[in-house]
Amino acid sequence: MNLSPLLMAVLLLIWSCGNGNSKAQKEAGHLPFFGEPMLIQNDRGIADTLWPALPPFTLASHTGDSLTQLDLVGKIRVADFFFTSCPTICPMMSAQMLRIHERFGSNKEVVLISHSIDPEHDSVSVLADYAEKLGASAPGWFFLTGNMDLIFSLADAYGSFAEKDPNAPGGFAHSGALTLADRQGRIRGVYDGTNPEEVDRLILDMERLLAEAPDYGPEAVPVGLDYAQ
Amino acid sequence: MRSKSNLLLLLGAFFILGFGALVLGIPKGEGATVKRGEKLYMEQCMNCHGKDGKGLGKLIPGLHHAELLQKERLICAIRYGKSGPLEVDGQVYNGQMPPNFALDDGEIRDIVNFVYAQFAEIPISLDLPEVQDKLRNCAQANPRLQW
Repeated sequence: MNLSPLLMAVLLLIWSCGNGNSKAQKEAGHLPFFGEPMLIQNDRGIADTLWPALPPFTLASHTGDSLTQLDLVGKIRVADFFFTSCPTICPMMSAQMLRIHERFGSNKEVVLISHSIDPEHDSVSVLADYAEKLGASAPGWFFLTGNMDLIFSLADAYGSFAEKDPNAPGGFAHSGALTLADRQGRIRGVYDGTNPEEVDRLILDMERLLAEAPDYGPEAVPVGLDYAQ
Repeated sequence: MRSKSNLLLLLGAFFILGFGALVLGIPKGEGATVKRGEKLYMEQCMNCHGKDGKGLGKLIPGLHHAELLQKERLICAIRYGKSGPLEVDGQVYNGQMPPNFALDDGEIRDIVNFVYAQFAEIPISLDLPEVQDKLRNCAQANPRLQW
């Protein structure tokens, strides 16, 4: 009579050890990679898997300097696309980005980048004023401006969306997405920046990404235009 | 016997109706305007002023400040928007609040009643004539608003 619970406990222990050691279980702790893998074959037919990473860029930052992908090497990043005079979802996105900044602002391995999709109005000085009033500070958070068409294409590369639309409030239609990319510039998550619960999940995913080995996963290759201007 | 059963029937009806209203969340009296105001606030105002009404840094003022909780100021800002410098509690805000002509007078009353109930220390209950009176005042004081 007393043997059966003991037997169950032993079986459970064996089962859980087996599971814990399985490769699939270890993999389950990692965030997915967004995009399609690229299979590269050499002349002997040996294939290697590469993963698309975000394209290189050079944009003007609110600090007065320019920011490039080289400034983000070894750091995880959260990106959004907004404009300072946006009368709709941007304040909610900025409020959620501010939450992330308050949580990770002192972590040198985390950078937030907010791209203005209205660069004609959002000059460096307008962005500097916006950052100061919001309570955002570099090097934890950069506000970027530059050529509008290039920033629209960059939004696309980040899995977000932005375009001019005279019928949209403020003159621009855009997504409220916050995109999480790892140290190698590979997209690992896209979240609704207007939903605090989604951003709770993003914050947990950022912790997971920070705990991940920098060389984890398939080798990254930047794909797309060089957005340097 | 018959009157007793009628009384029981009546009590039962009251119980069912009361319970039904509770389940469906149907508010009564003053609660109704605040409840409608809450829904409108979440649709029209929360984006900028936040779910908790605290605003956004030094960009958008919180709604708990006494300077903002002046009936006419609030009512007119909802209808006609607000631009130019606005000093609240020593801080100057210079953003732009868009006008909202799609909201009718009753809906503005509901939003103001919700804002007071939720964010002010002393809740008020505005009625429709008072809202219309204030809207007339601010439109007369600044004819430029009537676009």
